[in-house]
Amino acid sequence: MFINAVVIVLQEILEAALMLSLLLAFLRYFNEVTTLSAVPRALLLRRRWTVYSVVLGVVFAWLYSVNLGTISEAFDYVGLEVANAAIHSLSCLFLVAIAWLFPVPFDEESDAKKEGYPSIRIGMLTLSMVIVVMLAILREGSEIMQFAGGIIGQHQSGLSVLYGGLVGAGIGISTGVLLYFGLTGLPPSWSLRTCTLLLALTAGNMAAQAVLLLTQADWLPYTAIAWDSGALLDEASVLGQLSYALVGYESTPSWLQVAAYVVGVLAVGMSATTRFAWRISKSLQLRGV
Amino acid sequence: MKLFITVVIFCGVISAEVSAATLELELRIRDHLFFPATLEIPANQKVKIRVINEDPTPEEFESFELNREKVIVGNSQTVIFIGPLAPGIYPFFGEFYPKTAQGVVVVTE
Repeated sequence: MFINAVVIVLQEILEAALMLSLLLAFLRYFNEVTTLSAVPRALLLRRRWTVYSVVLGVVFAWLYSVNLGTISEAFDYVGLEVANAAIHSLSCLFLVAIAWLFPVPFDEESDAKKEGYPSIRIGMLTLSMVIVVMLAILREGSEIMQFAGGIIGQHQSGLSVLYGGLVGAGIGISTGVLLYFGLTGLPPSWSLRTCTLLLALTAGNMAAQAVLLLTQADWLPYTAIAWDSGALLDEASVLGQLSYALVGYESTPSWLQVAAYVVGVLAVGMSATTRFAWRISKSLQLRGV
Repeated sequence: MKLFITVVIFCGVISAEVSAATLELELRIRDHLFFPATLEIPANQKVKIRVINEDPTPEEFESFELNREKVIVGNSQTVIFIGPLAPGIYPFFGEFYPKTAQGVVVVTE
């Protein structure tokens, strides 16, 4: 039961931890850049929102887990897929919102350079980040609670599950911390590019997963498998699982999943943040950021 | 956008080709085991699997090959749609009790 608990908790924690690390890295970088631009200091993003999102995420995960039986029976026994697809769609939507709301400094086309950004925009951005992290914890946390609840109800192997869960959580959080320092340790222009790329891939991942869940519920039509890259990268392997957690790697995706993924990536890719990351990084180097 | 529309239409054509009447099967979970452990289904047909969990503990039906993942609460039932599939062997397992909860879907022509 020990190894089992390690694997399950690790898988679930990893996705939420990577999401949080990515947003924190993004945030740190943008705060650095905005300090040098015309955005007033009072509008700099603070990190207090992470506390709210974690607390809210755990509370909602518990509520979701307790009501899982009822949710599951809805819509002729596919309620779980529908609810999870809704959670994934919302995550995708707010990830895209983050990309579009980020205050892009040095944007010659806008007046923001002179006036700074309105606080409502910063507020909406913070809210979007709270929602994204909260939804990630809700998704993954409820599954851990289901697993743990079932074991604890049996009055056996409770301790080994607890230890296994702690080890799994430790590895998951460490991987998240590693990603954060990896991202923030890169040269600024590459850090921003990598962050933006990961944000786009995560949005695509969420859209593709929503589509997969609705296909599983028979709400969306079946589409053929687009390719089989299982020989190249096995989904069940450690690297496969890490790629799944980080960018939603799937060795046999359907065409509809691929289409949804592309839409998610493009929705982030067309934002001012992406344009800024790829185009104006030169001016950053001149300013010595 | 053009690409997306093309892909969606393309997918619609593919799905129309293989759609047939849905077959319904039953899969039970008892003492962290699947009954039956082998589900035989015909190729290119959508199948509705009614999973009945007779254990008091929750289980998660998971399969990398089938791209399926679903938690089934203890003492409850649920539905999972799979296919249409190409002939082959598609393993599945219970993620919460993977040592014992193992099964395969065998797809034949």
